[in-house]
Amino acid sequence: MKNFIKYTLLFLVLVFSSTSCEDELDVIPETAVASSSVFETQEGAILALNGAYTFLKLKGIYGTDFAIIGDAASDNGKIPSDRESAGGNSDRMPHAYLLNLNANTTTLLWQDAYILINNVNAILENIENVSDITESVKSRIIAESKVLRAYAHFCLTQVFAQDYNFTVDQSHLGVPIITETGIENKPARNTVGEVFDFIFSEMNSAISILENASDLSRSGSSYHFLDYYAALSLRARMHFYTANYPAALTDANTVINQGGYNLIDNYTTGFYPSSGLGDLEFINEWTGTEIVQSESIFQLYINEAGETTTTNRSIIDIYTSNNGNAAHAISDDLYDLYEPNDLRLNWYKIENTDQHVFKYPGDFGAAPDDTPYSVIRLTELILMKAEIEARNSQDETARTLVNLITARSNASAITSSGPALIEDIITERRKELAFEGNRLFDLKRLQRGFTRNDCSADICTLDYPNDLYAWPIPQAEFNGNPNMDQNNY
Amino acid sequence: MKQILFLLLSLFSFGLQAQQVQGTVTDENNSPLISVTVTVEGTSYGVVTDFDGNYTINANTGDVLVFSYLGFISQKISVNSTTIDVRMVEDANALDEVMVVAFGTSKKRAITGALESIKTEEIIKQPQANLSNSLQGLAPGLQVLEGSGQPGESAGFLIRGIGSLSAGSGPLIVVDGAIFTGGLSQLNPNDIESVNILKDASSASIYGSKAANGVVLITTRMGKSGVTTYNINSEYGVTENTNPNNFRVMNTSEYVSYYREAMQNAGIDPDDSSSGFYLPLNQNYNTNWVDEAFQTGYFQKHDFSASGGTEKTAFFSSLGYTDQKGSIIGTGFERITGMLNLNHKASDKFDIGTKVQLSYRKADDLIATGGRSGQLSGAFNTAPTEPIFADDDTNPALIGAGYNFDIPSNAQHNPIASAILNSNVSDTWTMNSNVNLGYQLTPEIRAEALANYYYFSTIQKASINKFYLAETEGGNSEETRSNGNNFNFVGTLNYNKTFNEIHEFGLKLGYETTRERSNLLSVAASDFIFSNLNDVGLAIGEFSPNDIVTGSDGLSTNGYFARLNYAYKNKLFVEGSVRNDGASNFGPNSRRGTFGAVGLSYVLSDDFFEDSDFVNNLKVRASYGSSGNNNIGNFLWRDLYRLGVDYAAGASNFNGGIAINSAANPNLKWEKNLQLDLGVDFSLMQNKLNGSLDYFRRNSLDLLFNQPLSLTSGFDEQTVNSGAELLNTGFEISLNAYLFRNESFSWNLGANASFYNQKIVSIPDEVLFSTNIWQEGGRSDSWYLQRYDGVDPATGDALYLDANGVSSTNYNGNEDRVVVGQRTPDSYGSITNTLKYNNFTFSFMFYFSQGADAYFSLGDELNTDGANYSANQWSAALNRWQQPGDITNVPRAQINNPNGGLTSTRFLYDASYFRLQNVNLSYALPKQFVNSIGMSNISLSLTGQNLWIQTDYPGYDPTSDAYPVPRTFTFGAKLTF
Repeated sequence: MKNFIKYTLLFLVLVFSSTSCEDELDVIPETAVASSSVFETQEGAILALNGAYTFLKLKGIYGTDFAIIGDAASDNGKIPSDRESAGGNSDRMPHAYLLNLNANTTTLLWQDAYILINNVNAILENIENVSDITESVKSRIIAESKVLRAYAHFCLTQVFAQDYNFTVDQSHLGVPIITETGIENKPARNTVGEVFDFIFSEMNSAISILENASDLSRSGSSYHFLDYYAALSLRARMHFYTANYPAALTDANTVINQGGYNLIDNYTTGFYPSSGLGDLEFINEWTGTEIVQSESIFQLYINEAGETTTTNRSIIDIYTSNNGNAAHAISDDLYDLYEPNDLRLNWYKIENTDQHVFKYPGDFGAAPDDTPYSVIRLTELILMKAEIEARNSQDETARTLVNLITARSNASAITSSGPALIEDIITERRKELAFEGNRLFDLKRLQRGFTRNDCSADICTLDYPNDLYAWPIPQAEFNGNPNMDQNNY
Repeated sequence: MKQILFLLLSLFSFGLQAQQVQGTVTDENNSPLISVTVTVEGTSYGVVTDFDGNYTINANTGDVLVFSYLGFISQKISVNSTTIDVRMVEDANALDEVMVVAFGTSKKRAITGALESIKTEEIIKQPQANLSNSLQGLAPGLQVLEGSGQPGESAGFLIRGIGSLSAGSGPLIVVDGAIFTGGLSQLNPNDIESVNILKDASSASIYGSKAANGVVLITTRMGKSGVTTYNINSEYGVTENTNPNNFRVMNTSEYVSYYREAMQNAGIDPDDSSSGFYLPLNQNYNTNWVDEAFQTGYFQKHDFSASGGTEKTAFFSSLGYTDQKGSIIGTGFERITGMLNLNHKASDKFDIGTKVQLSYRKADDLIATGGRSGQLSGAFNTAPTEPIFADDDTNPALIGAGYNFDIPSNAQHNPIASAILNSNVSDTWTMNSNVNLGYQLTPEIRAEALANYYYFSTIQKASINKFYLAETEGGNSEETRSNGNNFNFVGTLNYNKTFNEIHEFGLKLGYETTRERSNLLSVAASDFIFSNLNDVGLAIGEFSPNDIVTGSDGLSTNGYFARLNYAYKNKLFVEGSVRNDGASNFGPNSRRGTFGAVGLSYVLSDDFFEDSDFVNNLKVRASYGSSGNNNIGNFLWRDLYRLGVDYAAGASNFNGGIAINSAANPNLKWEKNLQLDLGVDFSLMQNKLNGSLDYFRRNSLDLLFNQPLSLTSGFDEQTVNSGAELLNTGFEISLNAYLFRNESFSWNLGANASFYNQKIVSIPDEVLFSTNIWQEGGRSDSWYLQRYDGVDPATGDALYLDANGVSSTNYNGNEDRVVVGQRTPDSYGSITNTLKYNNFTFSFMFYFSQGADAYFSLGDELNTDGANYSANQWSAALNRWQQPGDITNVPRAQINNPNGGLTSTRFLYDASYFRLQNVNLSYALPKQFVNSIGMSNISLSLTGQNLWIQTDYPGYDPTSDAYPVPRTFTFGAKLTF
């Protein structure tokens, strides 16, 4: 027994001396970075900012959902007749036409916008701790982060809240303003007024930085990043959708006059090989991996790569039916608005029985599901300005502006004046910006309902005000947040 | 030496006028048994059999000879002739048998827990390339999850039910004392000595945080001192698909009339070529895609082994080759294994052993299960009106390598072209080696050390041929290389001492550490110049950063353990174990945990039935203890940014990006099991009937649960150890009976059955899945579906019940779902009959599984009531509603049917089954003949696997739709010399 004790002691000494057991149990992953080390360097902070940009292409945002809701849930789109029976797959959103929304249909947009916001918050919380960062890089990162965060809040509000002027004092419910990271956060909703106060204060501070900031060194064209004029353009859009037309006009004028963007004079067409359909005629300016380049202010390249990062069904799959699954087509209500000679009809091609949206034909190359997507371009500011000038009774200016747009597509010039001119500009906006994700929000801004004549959905007319203009908060939010309030729907 | 002993004995006996008795002792398979002790009852001397099983002993007429051999039932035979040949029968319940247990061995008598042992004969009887599949039905409490009939595919295991919600529920696998993380398909079943299943806390808890789901201990074969024996074992056979309930899809005439009717029901003229649904009556083809997709495969397996040794050194070496062609075209499996086991006794005190196990595997898998190249999905869905090969009417742009790709979409494509043109092959090399040392410090104390090193390397290559036009043009290829290594060290100090021949103590102190590392590199590329040269390096397509994926994984653990064994008079046994474990996959806040168990057993028969002829052995057991489940992600607790979130500014400008990975939880720790086991082992009527009965109660606590978060946090959920708790209870019974036994004929019946119940005791929140629900009082594996209520005879519409049982045509598939079944069985087990007549052995095994339900998703996919034009349909739709008054359960077919093929109990079937799993007839050639040609044993066998199944499930097999488990017939020959 004595021996046993001796040997036991020896054994224990050997075991404990041969292993430093806690170190051994510290296994570091080799393909990920500890959060604590990301913001140790300037490089890490820039990488985190690039990651936040990528998240604009999450499926819920411009990967699919936010890119198509504006048209699918309005009078621009319809369910293709060969897809009428399709189920409520969230990536195809036929429910956007039915508008009998159930609580799960919008999960991705809500979730993905807040994923983006959370990543931006982490940057803004930690940027002060980065030791080797230069002041100019730091302020640039802060400014772009703030624009991303403000714009994500704006997108959320567009979908999940009624329009800005729904109540006189903007006291109706918006979305929670999130400015800090925190797994345990369980916020209540802010009012729309509070959200827009936050959005504009962020945009204002970001724009004042960006005005004089030097760019970061990144590869890509300037319209792939949020610079001074991109931020100004987005702020113009934000003011426009709150119906603050004077402020929108000021920002639009700055961009139009100083931004250095050139409106495309004439749309031109050419023939391109299209999978399964033979050679088709497309508008040259809308093909390739970068589109409307001279007038592009901010555009994304929606790439399928990395299914956790972006969508595995980009808008190019959703709109065109190259494999029989197109979930959205253009309604006759919109299609019939174009004159027969309008070059923009090349955005639409018949597949099976319906006109499908080929506005984003991609580059017809090795990655057929990848596509550029225009977030904002000079044309939108021109049309914005035209509408505001018409509202200000500057009919001549307004007509000149809008006819820049009609002329380049071989459409007849607009000659009306007064209220009819305003309407014609709104219609031209609908035709030109079709399937760029704006129509629903324009209807909300104008406080109008809509009528779908080419309609197989349950709801073919919708009056304003309407509960369906504020989409339901997804059920998943309520599972983890007792403080959340739901919209009526 | 032996001869001298015999001579002395002979001389001595001659003086007593005894006669010389001789004979041969064999086992049930007529193989000679070496070293069987033969004694004359009532005397103290005896002899042992030689290498050929022969013995010679002097005995008087009327003396009783006792033949005894470890693991066999002793036989007593009166001397009435000079030749007595004896066939010994294995004692399945021999209490003195030595069994492999956690970190050592134990006499079966001393075991206090629930442990099952499966012997090599039962394993190799089955023509399976994979060890895991051959364990089905061989041990109560072990459920083998077959899942797929793909050649070489490993099956999963469940021991005593599902004890986790989100962490892994598979058992820990230990091979020759070292934790094994590789696939079981790299082991040659022929190299396995035994597979022991540790089911309860007393037997498994010493594995601490890895033991909660039970432990499978695999022991490979060792050499024995003695003559060198050589074994050659060859099997050859065929495999084919089974189809017990004649599942089929429609032929062309059925298909055409089905869809024409569906069009008419939707107001579409089937003869109008402008409708988009044109389907004329006249068709040129009637392709049976399913028949084309299946084939008769083959199975061949050849093994050579040699074993033997001297007093000091023993070895076992083997070489094995397995080649299998699957029952679906384009699939197969090939394996080469080699093993060397060496043991050497350097001195009285020091011994050393080493093992090297190598394997190469090549698996030719299905191209895909679904999607645009899925082999079976294509075979089932593609319209019979389409030809396999292009003809004059085929659009020339849609002809690839002569195949027809001019097939409308809707999940339909040319599966034959996919199987022939595309490939999905993986090659794997493994090495598993160890060194073990033992040193006898004093007569009571022994120190042991085991170091095991495991390495694997896999190259998987999946290619879509450039002529396979259903996918991206130009073809694509993805090559994934993964490799890893595991190091495992176990050091123990063992103390054994018996006091006063009554009190026997054993104490084991041990330390174990494991270190697993693996990494992978995957490259995807597209657009190839030559169709047959599709290495990723030869592609000319555009390349993006995401086309290269790398990954790494790592886990380290260490643990200290102690086990105390006490035996009183070799009949009362107490066992206690404790282990402290740490693992890198738990946060620093809760990295170490302590687990322990106690067990008690008592051999009642020694005290109460000592003289009973009826009760030979009776032992009761009880154990209770805790164990952990660390089978969760390796880095879940860490606060990480993930790489590769690169911002593409245009198609070719990538800006490196990173993003927050997941909601880290630094408090994450193992799940915990508390298990009670009560058991009894018995052997009755001269050991003719023996068996075991166990009851267990397994509580699983601190279960990992994905707690929902506010999405505004940027996360949807966080993994936490919650208050969720699962309870598994059950009975397991095994019986083995000799119904008849004499010199030339015996009939043995073995049966085992397991009965389970599982319940969610508590859960923080109800969790809904598309077809399952977790709720308090329910099961974790429920089927949660809306109930189908047949067809309205007036309209042909599908009817569904709402949650309150009200029938209507309304389907919501959400609020109206109810719990309607479960995925795992209530009971399963097997019945094996073994009949032996002289040199013939005939055995057959039935396996049953009762109480599980299975969703027939293939039937759902292929019975959409017209909604999925132009996919082919299940022949069940021939019974569809066609006119008012039709009574049927298949609704009206209608193009774009909004109500078609919805997920409901319409496709949920009772998946209980009764399977004739194995039939084996073997014949051992007569001894004299075999010996005369210099061999010691030759046997031939015919085997059938999965010959017959009785089930209500309408598909190919209730356990797997993705690749049905095939039927196999083999012929085998086994030579020993």
